[in-house]
Amino acid sequence: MAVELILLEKIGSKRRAFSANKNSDLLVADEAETSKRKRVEKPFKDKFIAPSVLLGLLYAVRYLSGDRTLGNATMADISRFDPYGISGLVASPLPDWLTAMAGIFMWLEAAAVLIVILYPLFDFKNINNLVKFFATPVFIFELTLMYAEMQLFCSFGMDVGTLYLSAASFAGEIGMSFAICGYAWIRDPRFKISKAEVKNLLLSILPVLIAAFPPYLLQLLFGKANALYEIKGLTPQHRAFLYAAVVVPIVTYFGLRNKSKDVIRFSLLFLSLATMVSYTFNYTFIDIIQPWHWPLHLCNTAMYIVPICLIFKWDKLFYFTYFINVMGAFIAMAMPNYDDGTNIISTKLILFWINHFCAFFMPLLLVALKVFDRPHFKQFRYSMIGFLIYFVLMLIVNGWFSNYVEGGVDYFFLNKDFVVSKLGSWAEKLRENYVWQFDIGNLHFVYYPVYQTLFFIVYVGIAFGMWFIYEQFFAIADFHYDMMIRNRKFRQDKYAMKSALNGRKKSEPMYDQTDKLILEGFGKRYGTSNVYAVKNADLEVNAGEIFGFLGPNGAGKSTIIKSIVGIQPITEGTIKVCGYDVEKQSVEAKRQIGYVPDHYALYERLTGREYINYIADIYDVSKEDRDERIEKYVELFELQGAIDNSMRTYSHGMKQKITIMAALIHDPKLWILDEPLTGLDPNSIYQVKECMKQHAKAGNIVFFSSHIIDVVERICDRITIIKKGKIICTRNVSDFGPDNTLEDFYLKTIEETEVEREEIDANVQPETKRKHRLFKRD
Amino acid sequence: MEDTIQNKGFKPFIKHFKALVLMQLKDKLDFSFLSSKKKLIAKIVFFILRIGAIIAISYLAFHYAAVLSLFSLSGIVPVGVVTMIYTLIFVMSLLSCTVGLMKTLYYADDNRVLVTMPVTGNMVFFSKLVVYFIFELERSLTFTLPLLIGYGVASLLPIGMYFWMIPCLIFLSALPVVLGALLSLPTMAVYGFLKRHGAIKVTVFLLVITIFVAAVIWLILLIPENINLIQQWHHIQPHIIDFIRQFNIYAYPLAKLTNMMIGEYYNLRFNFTWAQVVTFVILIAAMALVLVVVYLIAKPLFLKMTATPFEFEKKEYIKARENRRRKKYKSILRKEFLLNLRSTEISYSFVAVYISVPILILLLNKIFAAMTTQLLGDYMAYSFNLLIILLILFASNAIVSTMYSMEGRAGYMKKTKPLELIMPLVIKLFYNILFSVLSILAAMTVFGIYSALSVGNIIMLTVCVLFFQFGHILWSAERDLMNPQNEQYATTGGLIDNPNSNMTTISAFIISAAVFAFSLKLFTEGGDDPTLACVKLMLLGIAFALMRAYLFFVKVRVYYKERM
Repeated sequence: MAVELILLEKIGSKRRAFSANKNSDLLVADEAETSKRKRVEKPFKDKFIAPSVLLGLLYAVRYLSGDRTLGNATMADISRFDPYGISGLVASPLPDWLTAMAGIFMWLEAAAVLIVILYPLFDFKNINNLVKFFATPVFIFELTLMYAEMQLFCSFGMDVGTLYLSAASFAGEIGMSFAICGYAWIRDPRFKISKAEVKNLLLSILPVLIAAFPPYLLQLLFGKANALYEIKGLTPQHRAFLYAAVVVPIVTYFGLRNKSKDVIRFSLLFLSLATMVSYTFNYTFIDIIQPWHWPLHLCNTAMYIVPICLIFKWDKLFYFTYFINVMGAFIAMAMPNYDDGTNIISTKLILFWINHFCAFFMPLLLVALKVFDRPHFKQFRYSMIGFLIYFVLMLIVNGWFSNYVEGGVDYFFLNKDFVVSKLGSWAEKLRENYVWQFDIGNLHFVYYPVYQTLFFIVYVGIAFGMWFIYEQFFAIADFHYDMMIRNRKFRQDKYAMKSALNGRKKSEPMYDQTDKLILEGFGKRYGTSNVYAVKNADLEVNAGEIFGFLGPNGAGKSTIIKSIVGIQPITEGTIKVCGYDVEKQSVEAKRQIGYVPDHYALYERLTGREYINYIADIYDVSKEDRDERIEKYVELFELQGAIDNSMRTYSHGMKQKITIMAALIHDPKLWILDEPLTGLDPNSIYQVKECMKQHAKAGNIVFFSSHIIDVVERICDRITIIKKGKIICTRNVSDFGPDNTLEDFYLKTIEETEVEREEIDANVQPETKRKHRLFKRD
Repeated sequence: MEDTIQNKGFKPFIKHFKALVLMQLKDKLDFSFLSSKKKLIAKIVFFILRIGAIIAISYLAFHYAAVLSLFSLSGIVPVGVVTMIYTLIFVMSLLSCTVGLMKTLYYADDNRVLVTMPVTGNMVFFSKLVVYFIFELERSLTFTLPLLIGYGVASLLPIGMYFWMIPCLIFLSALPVVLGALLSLPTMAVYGFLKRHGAIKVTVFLLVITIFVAAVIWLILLIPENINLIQQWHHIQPHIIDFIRQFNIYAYPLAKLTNMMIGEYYNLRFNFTWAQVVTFVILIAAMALVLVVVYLIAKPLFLKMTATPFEFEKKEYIKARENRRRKKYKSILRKEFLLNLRSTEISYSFVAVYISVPILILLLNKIFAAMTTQLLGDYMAYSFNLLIILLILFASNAIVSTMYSMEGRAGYMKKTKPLELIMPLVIKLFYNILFSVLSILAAMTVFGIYSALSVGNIIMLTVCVLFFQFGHILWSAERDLMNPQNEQYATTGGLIDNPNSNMTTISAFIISAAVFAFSLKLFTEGGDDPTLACVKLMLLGIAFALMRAYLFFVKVRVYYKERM
């Protein structure tokens, strides 16, 4: 068994085992190192949380004052920046290459700053390498480009005061970044890293860069370009974006699902923060004091709710985004609200998709990767309360802020006709025919009660729909995960068997005991139940003996028999049939078995002969042998007049006889009979008993389960008694005599175990009783 | 004996009779909704919705038929049309009652159980008729009545007529039952004869199928090359009116029964007449007479059949054969063919489905060919072809999702045989796959003849349909494996409401509709050249089949052994 286990580990998947071993060694070493390091360095690392927060603030100041200028230039004032619609670089006062370099390095710097900000919060090897080998060089290069970047800001109309603020915060940002990077180098001064670490590093840089991609960069580098592709109206290009919304989370999920909790958390936090930074590039300090510019659109809320939930672990807020944002984002992606002719590389379009991708799949990823639990109805309720609050708030905000903005404010599309125009004239009428207007002081409020109420109801309905979809999705995902695990185990068993055979053919026995039926530690549980139908069953039946299998109804007899013949899988232990492992060499093992079930199971539209021939074909019985055996048994069971009739016309006994014939047609080494005498006439019973004796005499095993103790006593050599899934005892039948019959022994044995149980139950203390029950179950 | 004496009298008779009827009804119908308030409310709501929907559809149909003057120039739908509809319903009921009563009166397993109960043979016999009457009554009140109400609303029937319809329908529901009981006698004779003579049965079946198919194809080919209903309407309408008139002359008794329910039309409105009451009385008298005849002829046969044990009945005799050795997988395949061919219900339904596909495609394309269509119309026609083929084939796979379970306990025994588990399972599907391939090839050939698509594109679409069908067959079979019903089939012999079949039917609708929508989108996107769309559809079909095949094989490997 131990050998098998080693083999299983070795061969189950050589590479997997190898890497598992290696990984486990590494893990052990890593864990020791990490805990040691934590003990020594934790206070030191904690000190870096404050600089990291400060770095975040500096970055935010710089970002909200200057960095976005490039983006604004490309997005808002395209004619100034790109008068010919050819390239975004032409309007820059700097050489094209320098403008391009500045733009690209601002992208790299954004990614590097975020890594450095998060660095003190996480402790795994790859983040250290990211800081050392990605962030540090980026900051060094950034130093060389700082002047060019400031020139760019200057040329795009940044006022002097803001420029000074921006420059100061930029300098502070670089300085603070160097300090944290320096800490990473002090902590691990190695320059040389292993190949695996290089691979991990490269594999992480790519997603890091994708996540931090600034929405304006393509337009900065390539200008307006030709508006060839319209990402709208479910065109193939639009569909490609929709597919990406599904593929990206799937790839992310598979990339992260086997990683540690720390890595998962870091990755998701980085992803959400990076996309939030990208998304907010067109926000400035001025927007803070102009609340009607705040990102309060439903999908926009996901951009900051997700990182907030990740940082502060606010599950109630998270489930709001989980039930509400995902569907909203999907609808928005299917019906994007940007203008016709918006090009594929335009800032606006990329901004839209970054936002909606994030709103769509981040909540799903967070649950799939188990950062948040799968929701119960309680969480759904919270999310609906959250939605109600959000909805009411948006109604107020829309009504109120519309007084300050020309054209009105339309958060969540509650105020304007964007949604109804998509639905048709009926919806437009519904909105316009029921209007409620009133004034509070100088403020004028307009509401559309019917439209807005229906909007709310429909959205709650959609949320319920989402609940249903999630439930279905979880069920499917769980099922496929279970399937995958089982399939992997199946393959590992296959490899284990190959190695256990050690070069021998699959058709050869795996074990030496080729004339025995052996059960070793056999156990069986059904489905997901924790209760064992049979537990720790050990049994050895020899060739040439008729072995009786006794026990009350529900004792586990049929469970053992069904596991031997292959009707059901084994939960624990091994069953060996004539040297073949029933699980691993099932086909070969079954070839040795003839099985008579407790209830005949035939294809009744066939004739008796057709059925027997069909079974003989399966066991590859020669023509001569089958002729001889069919003739013999037809005569023995008096089926001469019926063997060529349809089995539908047979009586119960005749069908049972055909079943017995089918079990014997290939002269099995192990003949298993489960209550075979039911419905047979006395003559046939006699013939079956004779067959059993002859079969055993010929050196085969006869395994006979019955409730008729007299018959068992008369024909069996040994018996075993099973009760409540446990084999109680095994005895030679010759031990019994007229004064000590098998029947008495059986009844006494069954009764004794009952009494024993009752005594235990009556005498022991409740706590002990509970333990005893647990012990018994185990 | 004492019990019997005590049980004499009218009240105990009614009590026993009611018990007998309820017992049989509960065996055939699902009353589980009565145990749950939620289910009961849902049932009532769906019932009301169903009735409302039938009334609405019926009203709209008759209303627009009247507005468009489809069947008369007078602006109303003539009673003759209702007679035709009622005749159709009546014939269907009669057929179902005849066949059903033949089986339930003379061949049902429960007869021998029922006669052992402390009730008379007469009670058992009549209880069986009453059970059928209740089924018929349910059908009349939930389908025929709303249909007539729809007609009544469209034709402004007097209010009283709606109330009059109810007793009429109650008695009319009994008519197919008593006539069916009478006709069940000759039907049983024919059935018994055919059962004893397998060769004749198969010949008759093939003959009927051939004649039917030939007749349908002939009718389809009669469709003119160029249909323009609006231009040709003045030629067509007199023929329709004449046909209705002629039909009413030949179906005089049924026309009288229809008049009995909805009255007669004169003075530009429907009127209640004494003739209706007279017809009603004649109907009751005629039914009583037929019932007496049934009692005198059918009841003795019923009692005789219940006393005949099936065990000694030699149902069929197959000539003695030599033992013969075959390759094991060939032997399994042969066994499957023998079982399917000897199980007439499966064979007939397969044949019916697989023949109907090319015929329907012929009809569809003949109609499309007669229309002048633009490019979009052509593409819609292609997509409709795919929809029809896939819908019928997928829906027929409901049988596949019962195939393993139908083996009952014999299904478990497969696991004990020295075979790779997958092999017998796949071989079991071969019968279905073979015939569906033939059906698809025939249907796609017909489609190819009528469509303007190139041979290459037709081949690609054929591959698409074939692979979709393979995938769906595997999916349907997989459902049966994952949620086996063997024990239910073994104990009851069949399942009225098999969840796997239901899921297969639902998936059939969803997938075929999705393929329809997707193909239409692809065709229209491709502009003038549909080749790319055909390539994509083919690849989609192959991908679907491969995915289903992978999942089927993996699930068999990891789950099959433990599912039972």
